[in-house]
Amino acid sequence: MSLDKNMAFNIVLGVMIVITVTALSALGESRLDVYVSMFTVEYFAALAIFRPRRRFLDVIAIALLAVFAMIVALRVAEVLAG
Amino acid sequence: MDGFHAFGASLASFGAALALYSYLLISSTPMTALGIGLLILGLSILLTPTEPMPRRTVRALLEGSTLGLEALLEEVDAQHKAYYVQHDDGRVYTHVPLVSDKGPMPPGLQAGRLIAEWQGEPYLIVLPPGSELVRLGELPEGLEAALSEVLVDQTELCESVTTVHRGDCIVLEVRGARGLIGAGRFIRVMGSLEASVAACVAAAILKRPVRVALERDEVRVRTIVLEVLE
Repeated sequence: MSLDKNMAFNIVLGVMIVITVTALSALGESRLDVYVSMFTVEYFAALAIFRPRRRFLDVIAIALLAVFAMIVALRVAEVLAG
Repeated sequence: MDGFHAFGASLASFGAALALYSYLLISSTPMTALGIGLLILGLSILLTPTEPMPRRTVRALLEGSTLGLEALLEEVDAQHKAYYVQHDDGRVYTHVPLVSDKGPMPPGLQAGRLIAEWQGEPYLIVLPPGSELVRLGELPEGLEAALSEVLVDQTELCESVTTVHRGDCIVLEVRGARGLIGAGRFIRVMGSLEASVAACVAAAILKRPVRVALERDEVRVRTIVLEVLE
């Protein structure tokens, strides 16, 4: 299999995930939602750049978006609650 | 599942296990995050197609080939339903009775001719759109697995397919059919694109002539009845 945009997407995504975990853990980050938010941003950024083909509906994107929306909603609720 | 997708499934499983173990037992956020990351990467690999040609393109090529056949069927004014018969060269041909229907011609008879004669009746012999698909030699054993491989995985003509055997008939339930051709004569004689490809696969797997006996469309489900002949 040649290194097409689909493979490039997976390689870049893998590298970004490893860098994110390494960097955030080195900084002492202990909030899981920060990691997940970063993964979401990276996934959508790579998706926009490489535009990989999918075998069927991109369930990862939907799941990540839903989790990200939940994280943001909880943060907003926290701020509003004072 | 090929090796690449098996790797993706393994990575996703390992990631999920690592995330659960790290979160519940050792309470390590970085390890949990790494598990989630591996899960995302594994699922992403699972979603990645390995075929060089987009299936949408394959589908468009199949649909295009039906339009040529549609013109030919119109020209000869074909009225009877076609028989799908596998010949000795491994290809599945369609035998279309042009005047009266006397059943499928024996395979190989007057092969290579466009119009052949059998029992005094003329037959049109053409290659249906799915003919070459069944010659690839990679069809799994078992009709349902082969139909799923060709209709869902190779061509993306539908989302799923299930089969039920009823006597000499095979009833297919095709969900989310995507073939969008308006070739009326082709559909009447050879069946819809999904039915035509399914008949090719059935004729190749069962090594018996097959005919699209009936098609019925409901909401998102197309029921196709294939008649298997002697």
